[in-house]
Amino acid sequence: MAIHLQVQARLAPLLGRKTAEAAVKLSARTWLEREVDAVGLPELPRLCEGLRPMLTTFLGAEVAAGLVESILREVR
Amino acid sequence: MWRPFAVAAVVAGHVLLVTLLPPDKAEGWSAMAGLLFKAAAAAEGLRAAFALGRGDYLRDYWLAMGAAFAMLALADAPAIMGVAGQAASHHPARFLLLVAGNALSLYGAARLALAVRSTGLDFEPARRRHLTGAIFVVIAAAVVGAALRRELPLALAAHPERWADVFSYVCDGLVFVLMVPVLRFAVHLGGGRLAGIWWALFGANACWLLFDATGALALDSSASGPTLAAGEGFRALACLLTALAAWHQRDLVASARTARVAAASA
Repeated sequence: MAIHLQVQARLAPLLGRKTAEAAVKLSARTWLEREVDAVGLPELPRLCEGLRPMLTTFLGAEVAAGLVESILREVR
Repeated sequence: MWRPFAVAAVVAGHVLLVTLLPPDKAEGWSAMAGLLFKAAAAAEGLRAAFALGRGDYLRDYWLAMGAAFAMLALADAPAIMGVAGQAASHHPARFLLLVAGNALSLYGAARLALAVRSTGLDFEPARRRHLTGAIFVVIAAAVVGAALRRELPLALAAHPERWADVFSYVCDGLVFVLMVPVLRFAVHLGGGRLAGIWWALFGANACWLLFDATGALALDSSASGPTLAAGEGFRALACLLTALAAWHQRDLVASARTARVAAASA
């Protein structure tokens, strides 16, 4: 499965499908300056760093850190 | 999942009691329940704030809401003190508590609305956003306008304590308008766990405006009894939905903490 779809799948239980898609798309465009379907495994850490501010705002730093760690650990 | 049903059951029980009790007892129960509901929202708000970390964006929101509800609960205290509360109910400190509590809830609503904007998430075309905003402004202006037509002449006619009520109506209207991005975000959260928090917060703030609307309707309609009972229901919902949202927020942090510890030790 594509990297961005795996990341979206891990965000969706918390943020819902639409918001997870919007968040990943925004992070890819802002932090990687590319479309989501062009994101590969080497860009995953930067994609996650792009997601972190939004996750921290809505969930708090601790929940956001846990989520980012699980994405980095599980997405292959 | 059971929590929203518990809130609905408590609110239904409260409305039934207010409707079925004799008027003098209903008034006493209403005052006591109002204080308890606000105290519950204050306690849960503060617990949610302290569950979040220092510097977390929503910690300030929950601190403001916890403090606001604590102030509003304190301002209600004279109503359950009987004769001893008569003097306290006209004390300037009570009006200060009302004004500060409403100002803090307005600050909290603004912070919540800005949370969505600050993340850069943009779900809808600007035209639809503006249309929703215009509808909310019209509803808020209609309800607050009706309340001000009633309260302003009283405030101007040497009843200075009424200025606190005037301020509270204006704050409720502004808070309702600030709920536009909160509603949009809640809709887009779909079935995510975060949705429970945002729907509850939207519902709570909308209920304050509905509570104000029932006050105006009760005066203008012949069916004042049912209208006032509905007002009791909306006030209870406004407080208990805030408490519910705070509970969800705390739960989210606690479960993430547990999952993180489990992942670290695996």
